[in-house]
Amino acid sequence: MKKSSLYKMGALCLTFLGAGTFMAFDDAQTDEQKLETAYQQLVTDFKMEQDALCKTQALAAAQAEWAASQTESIGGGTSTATPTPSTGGSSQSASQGGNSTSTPTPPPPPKKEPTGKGGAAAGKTTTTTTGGGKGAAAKGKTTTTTTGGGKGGAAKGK
Amino acid sequence: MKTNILRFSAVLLVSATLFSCGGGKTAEEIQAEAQTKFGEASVELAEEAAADCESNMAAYTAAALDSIKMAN
Repeated sequence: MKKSSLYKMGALCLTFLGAGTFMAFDDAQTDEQKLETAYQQLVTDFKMEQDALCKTQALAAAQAEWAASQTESIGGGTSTATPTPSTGGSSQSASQGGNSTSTPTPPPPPKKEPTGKGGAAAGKTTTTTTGGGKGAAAKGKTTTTTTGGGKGGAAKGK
Repeated sequence: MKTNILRFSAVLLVSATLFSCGGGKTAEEIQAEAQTKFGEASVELAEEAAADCESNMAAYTAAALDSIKMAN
């Protein structure tokens, strides 16, 4: 009777010990899983944030590229489509800008004879450089337009 | 007497087991450990994110440009 009670108590103790050990191990696993879940959540949030920043940068670069292309098209259109008429006299002052003028000077009327004073001088090359903008994809566009007029250095030889 | 000792031992063992089971980490502790782990790996994650961004930049830019063109 007493031995039986001892065995029963021993079995009970072993049962509690086993159950406690299992629960402790299970809790530890749960903590590890919780930690891993929290870490993965942080990593996911970080990656999403970085991806959003990347997309913002890409959008800015695309806008800059689009603005550059628009500027290029507008600049090319004005240089060829809307030349302001000018007389021979005014072409002298306009031609003194030389290179890198943003508003290309229109050619003088071709009816004027090359008298050597410079009205119908040969064409001058005006280089217009536009570009810039923001972002990595921003690039400068260089357009070269040839306009006439000027003091007529080449005309002096005629 | 022996029975009482065994019962006392059993109760003590059960109590110790329950105390050990109750030693789980709280949510704050888990979050703090996750933050620490994330801080240790932040450099590698930043480099990885930068590489991913660089590889995806062309596609993102093209998509954004297409969107802008469609909008205009």
